[in-house]
Amino acid sequence: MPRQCDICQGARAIIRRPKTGQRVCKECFFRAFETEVHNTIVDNALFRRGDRIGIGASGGKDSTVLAYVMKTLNERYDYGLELFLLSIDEGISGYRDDSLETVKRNRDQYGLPLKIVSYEQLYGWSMDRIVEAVGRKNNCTFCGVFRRQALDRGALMLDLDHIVTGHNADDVAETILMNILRGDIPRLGRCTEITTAGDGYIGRSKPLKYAYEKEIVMYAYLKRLDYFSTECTYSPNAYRGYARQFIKDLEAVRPSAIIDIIHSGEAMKVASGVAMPVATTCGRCGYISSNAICKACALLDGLERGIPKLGVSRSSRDADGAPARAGGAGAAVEPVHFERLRERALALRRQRLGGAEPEPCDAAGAACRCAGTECQ
Amino acid sequence: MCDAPAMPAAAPARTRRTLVPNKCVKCKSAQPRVAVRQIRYCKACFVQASVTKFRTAQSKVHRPVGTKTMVAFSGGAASSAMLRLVVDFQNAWRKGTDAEPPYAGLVIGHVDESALFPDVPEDAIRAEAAKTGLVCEIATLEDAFALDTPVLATVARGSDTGSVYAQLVGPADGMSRKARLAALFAGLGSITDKEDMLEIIKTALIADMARRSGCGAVLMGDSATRVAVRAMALTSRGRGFSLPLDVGAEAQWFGRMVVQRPMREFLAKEIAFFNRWTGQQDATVPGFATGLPKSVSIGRLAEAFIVELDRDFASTVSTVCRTLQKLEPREEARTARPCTLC
Repeated sequence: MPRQCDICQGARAIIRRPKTGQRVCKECFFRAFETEVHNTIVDNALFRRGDRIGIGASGGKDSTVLAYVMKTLNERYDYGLELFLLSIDEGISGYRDDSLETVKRNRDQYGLPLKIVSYEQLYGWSMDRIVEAVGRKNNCTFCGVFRRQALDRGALMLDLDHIVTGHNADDVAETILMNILRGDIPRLGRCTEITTAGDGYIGRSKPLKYAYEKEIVMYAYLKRLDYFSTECTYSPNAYRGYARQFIKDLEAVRPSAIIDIIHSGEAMKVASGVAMPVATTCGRCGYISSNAICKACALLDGLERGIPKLGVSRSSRDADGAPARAGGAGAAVEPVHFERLRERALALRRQRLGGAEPEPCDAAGAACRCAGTECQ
Repeated sequence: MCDAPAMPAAAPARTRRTLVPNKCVKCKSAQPRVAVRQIRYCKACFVQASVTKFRTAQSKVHRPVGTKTMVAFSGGAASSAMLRLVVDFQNAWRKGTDAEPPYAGLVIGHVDESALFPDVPEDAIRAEAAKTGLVCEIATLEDAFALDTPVLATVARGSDTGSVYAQLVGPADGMSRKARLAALFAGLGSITDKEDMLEIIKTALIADMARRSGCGAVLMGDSATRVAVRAMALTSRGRGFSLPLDVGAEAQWFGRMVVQRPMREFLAKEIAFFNRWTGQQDATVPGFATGLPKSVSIGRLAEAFIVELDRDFASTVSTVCRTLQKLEPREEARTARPCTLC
């Protein structure tokens, strides 16, 4: 006999919520899911009225659900936000090109403006070329480091106030475990925060932090959202794979385990005597960094000099001993300095507030006025 | 003019340990028989290195002056090795010298789990403890209902905490303690909950024995592997706030009593080799998840996860232990009032 919904006691229940164990019908599930995200946003005061918010959109299920829910909640509760889709094109053929098509369809479906920034444009290297130089192992390091910075660059190009990403509860739990396993104390302290400062100018938050991946998939499926579901063509990260499998096994034993791990992570306290890295800015590109040169610049430098292991391997022998290939492996684009990007963002803001249209940039090179944001 | 040789301007640079290919890293002459964290030892050097490591760590820790130390002994591999190392350390102290003995007094604390697990070789375990010649305190699991301090019984006396709790944990008429214990565990649905309850009862019993025999410190035999596994399991059960208390190298859990975990310097593998090569007997102490697939409980799952990961990434266990050392308990965990039920 079909069971009734535990909430409305009327319609037929179609899903058992892993977080609460309740059996709920479709409409109650939508309402509960959306209300929980709304509560997360309101309780943590993630946004202010009038903020320009960039939704990190990959075309996958998490970011598609995030974009849809943000748009719905913005209208339902009148947050007064200006929403944008912000996509990063890593340059992975057979994967990203297809998923970006999905994002473009989302742009039309939800009526949100879309900005795509590519690794090729920002750094002069696409992931396909990086994999050619680095090999199939360790290339996720490049992709992850570049993406983090690329999102901030994209946000400055659009003069956004805040970026939201589709990290879900499973992702956060996985990251907590990974940081314990790797002994990454500074990140262990940071990874549970719902909002991080980013580079000090643009905040970042995870409104789906308490939403189970299972529910996100159900939501996307039941709402018939248009999303892209293929794994990256380059090798998945083996270490993360272990943690992911463990989380899935845990969920099978006790569904509340995922939220329990997040609570554990939030409650952990780093001992007072432990040395933590001090945030400073990169001497080359001006991005926030704990070293004189940020990770992205160090990796780029390695790529340019033909010793891609520089900045990836912990062993100094790999970097010192390997002879630099003559001429390096590629001709890079010098990444635009963050200071210039910020100036440009400020100029855009002034023009917007003053009602004037921003001046179009038509002169690449020395005469460029847009810090590479338009003319490239 | 002083003719003493001038002090070197700077400390000499650290040199890498010279390695003889295919020989023990210490004596450089014998065939290596075991590799621990990619370092290869021969039999004799491995045992010696283990003893030295244990004693060095033990001589650095602080124990309340003048109080006895309780060695928690389950009969399993890790606590057997710990008992042997502790007793040897104490016996190695030369009487008549000025130096203080390592321990002001030693007592063994053992919890008899045969009420739940009839297969435990209880006689062999007790015989092993008796061999040391130390006083051995023994509590059975069903004694949990007879404790005067925190566990279960206090609430049942109709204390102000509420009659609901009293009913919850109060004895049914004419029920033996053993039957109550069986009923308690039968009432717990999942193996995870059973493991949790067993751990709570055992910890309470050991703390009680230590208190009654006047011990100021308790040595628990959690190996590094065990510590990493427990850290994962506790995190997955939402107990991250008290991790440093539950699995830290040194913790003040019960008022002024210090709980230390000296075996967290040793991997489970090291302990197995140590016991084998020193002829130390150990028993297999079963648990609720013994012999069952990994998906039966969070504890068993965490064990499988850490063991598998450590096989592929050799430093996993030691990294987790190091991470735990850098955490401290939240104020709430320190000042938390004891749970009404346990």
